Amino acid sequence: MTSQIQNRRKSLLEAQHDLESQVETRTLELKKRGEELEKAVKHLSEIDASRARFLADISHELRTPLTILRGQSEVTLRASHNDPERLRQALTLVARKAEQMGLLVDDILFLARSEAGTFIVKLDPVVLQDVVTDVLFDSQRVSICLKQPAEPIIIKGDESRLRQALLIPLDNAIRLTPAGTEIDVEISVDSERAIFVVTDEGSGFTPEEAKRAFVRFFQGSASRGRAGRNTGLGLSIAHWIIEQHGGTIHIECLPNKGASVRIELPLLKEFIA
Amino acid sequence: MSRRLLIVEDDAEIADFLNVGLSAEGYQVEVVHDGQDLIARVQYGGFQFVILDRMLPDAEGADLCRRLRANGSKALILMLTARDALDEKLAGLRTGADDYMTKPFAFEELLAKLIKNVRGFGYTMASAKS
Repeated sequence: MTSQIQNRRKSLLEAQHDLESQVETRTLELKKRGEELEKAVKHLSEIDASRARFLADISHELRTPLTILRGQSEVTLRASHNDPERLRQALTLVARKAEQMGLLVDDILFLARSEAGTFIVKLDPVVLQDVVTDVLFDSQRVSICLKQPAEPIIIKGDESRLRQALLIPLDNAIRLTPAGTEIDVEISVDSERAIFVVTDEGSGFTPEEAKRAFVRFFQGSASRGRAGRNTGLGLSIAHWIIEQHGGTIHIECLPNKGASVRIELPLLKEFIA
Repeated sequence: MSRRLLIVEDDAEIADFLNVGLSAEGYQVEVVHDGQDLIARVQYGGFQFVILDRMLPDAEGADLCRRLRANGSKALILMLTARDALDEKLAGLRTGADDYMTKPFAFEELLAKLIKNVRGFGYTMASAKS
């Protein structure tokens, strides 16, 4: 009888121990799930905050050219009936601002579509030198010194997007380089990657600015107020495109002023010796 | 009474149309593009009106406004901003600005606000225009 009771107690204790251990395991699991959920919520809130910030920035960036369009038109309408030169200047400014707003809207839409995942980057074999030749053809106004190997460098890429991405640092270099100064473009290759480097002698970035260059709407002090495509979104767009190609983009500040933008893209596997 | 007006705006094209439009209305306009020496400039420049951009490259317009008031400036300060959130406006007004305009704005409204706030200051429209 006593032994039966003892056996019962023993099995009850074992069952209790087993139950406790199960509860402990479940509690740990629940805690882990809770932590995962917390992490996911935090991540989503960060995305949400980043979107809200982007929207606020868009609103801010559109308001400035709109203020000029509206103010310039209204002031001109009030005052310039007898001054054709003033009228011409005002209309020129209005046309230029409207064009800049158009570029800004294009860039905003590009980034919005890239975030929404509706952009399809089609990756086909592309000869890097051909893309660069096209890009340089579009920028033939300035003196560019091009160094490239004679052998074709083949990467996997979306040709039109690559052209867009490579044109951005080149456009920036042209905008910030004093007249009569050369811009260096160098294409090279290492064992796995194609390397495209644009170097200019312009006013460039400060090291602090270089760190923030890929932040949307960030503009270096030298870039503000310059003519040309200057939406503050170019390098963010280039960054996204290069990332879609499995590549990297970096900015280096040069000690004797100027900046160097380095883009590395993976070579087509079949092409790697 | 003179109508000396200082525009503090880093965007040269915005400052330009404000300058042209307000000069045509009889204001004696000066333009600066940053907040450097602003307190002394307003104090010794005899400005009754300051149009102050909220975001300058070297300073916060709100901070400058607060310092102008702390320094005893009685100038009529109209703050411009490219952000339209209510708390932005309230924060701007709390720094001592007389009024606040969100970009883009109607030029006529800016003129009306200058006149309205001058009235609030105890001047008459005639004295403001003289």
